[in-house]
Amino acid sequence: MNSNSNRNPLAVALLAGMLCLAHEPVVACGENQFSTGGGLRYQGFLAPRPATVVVVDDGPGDRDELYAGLAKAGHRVTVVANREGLATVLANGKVDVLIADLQDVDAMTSEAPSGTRVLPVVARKLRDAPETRDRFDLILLEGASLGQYLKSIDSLIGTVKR
Amino acid sequence: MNGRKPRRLRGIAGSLVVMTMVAAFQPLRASDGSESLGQADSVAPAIRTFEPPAHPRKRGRVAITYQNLGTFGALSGSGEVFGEHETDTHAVRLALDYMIGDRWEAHVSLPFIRKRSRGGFVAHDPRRLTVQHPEAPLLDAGTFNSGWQDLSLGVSYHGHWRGFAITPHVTASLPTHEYPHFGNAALGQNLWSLGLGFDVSRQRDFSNFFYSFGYSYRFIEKTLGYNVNRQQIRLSGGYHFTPRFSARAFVDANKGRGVSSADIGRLSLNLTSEFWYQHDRLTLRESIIGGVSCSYQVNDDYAVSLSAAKLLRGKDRQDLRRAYEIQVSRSF
Repeated sequence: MNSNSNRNPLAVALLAGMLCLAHEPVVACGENQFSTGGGLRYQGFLAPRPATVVVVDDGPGDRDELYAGLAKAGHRVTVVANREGLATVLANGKVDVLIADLQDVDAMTSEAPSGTRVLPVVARKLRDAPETRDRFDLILLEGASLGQYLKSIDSLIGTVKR
Repeated sequence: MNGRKPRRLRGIAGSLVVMTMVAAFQPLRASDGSESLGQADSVAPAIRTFEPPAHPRKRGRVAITYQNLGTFGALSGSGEVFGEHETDTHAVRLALDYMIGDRWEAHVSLPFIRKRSRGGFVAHDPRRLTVQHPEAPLLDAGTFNSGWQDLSLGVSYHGHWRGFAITPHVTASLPTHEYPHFGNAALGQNLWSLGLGFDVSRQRDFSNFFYSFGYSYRFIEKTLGYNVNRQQIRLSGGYHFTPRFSARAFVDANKGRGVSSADIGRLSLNLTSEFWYQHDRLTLRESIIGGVSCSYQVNDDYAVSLSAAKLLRGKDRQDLRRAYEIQVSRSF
């Protein structure tokens, strides 16, 4: 797993940048300004512990915005279209989390080293199927949101503090 | 100015104004959202990589803020309203914030104030004073008084602890010139101050909810030997409804040292004493102000925010009845 558990300090700084020091309130006989503080700049979600994530997706790129969101949160995301692509990625480095459609999981995990955490993407009609629930502690439903991806990845690598 | 007159800072003020205006009104740059979202590089046709952004592109921000304030009467030490004078304030504040390295941020701001006081008995009449102050004109004649107020220079450090953004800060405030302070329509108090404080903020993991807490203590130039230092506590909570639109509620509590309204009345010697001449700098001015604000990020560079506030509780100060703010900021 990526050992870098610290968020980008500049990102954190900018996160708070608008919040502080909007100004000190200035007063006379009557207030000449009032303090509103400041908003918090939107940074998307930040992953508590960034990881290296590989997604098997042979689609036309319609989920690229979601993958970009994972990257913005701090994960390094590689999207491969097939088994050959996965083999290439695995040959170049370690993978923390592998995300693949349920029907592809067996074929893809055969390429991955033992111990690679797998997060299957499951059709909604199969969400409660015994073969799904018995085999995987965590799943992603088709069409899951960015937040659900981030929560599942963090739960899988055991870093969510509750 | 109690014998300690601040340096005239008109030159600095002018430079800040020019700098802020130039930065604020540069033409929009082309926006390439891919950089902020992560780059999609084609390593091979079947492989795409999304890298976390190495550094956010924006390091600085300029902002122009307009505030409209209205007061009617004053609040006694028990919170009762007295007097029938009203004030109208239009304040425009120019601000520049800039990150220095990954952790430090510098802040500069300068407000321009336009204010008037109307109605009621004119208590701030310098002609009544036993010791005359030719530098003090009659400000409360119902006309607007305008001018640059106090230059604020600050630096903050952005730390991080267990998911919280911790931001201690130091801010110095210096009058830009020797403006008169005797009157409801004064631009300000014409006193230097040094503020120390911190803010703690957090956006919860995987949530669009954020909140913050802040505390500041300001050391203010003494007046007639009185300690008039002030404290401020800030609470804020908000929600990002979309990446571009957020709303929040805030509460600011202010408490200061100084002299109560009752003692000011007793020591004013029928509005003729030197103590009365200095009383605007000495008043306790306790307040709790609450408000709501919303912000809209127009694009990568520009953001607009609107705020409204209400005096929830006040003592020994003027009764704030109207408080609105609009801010336009540009990141660069």
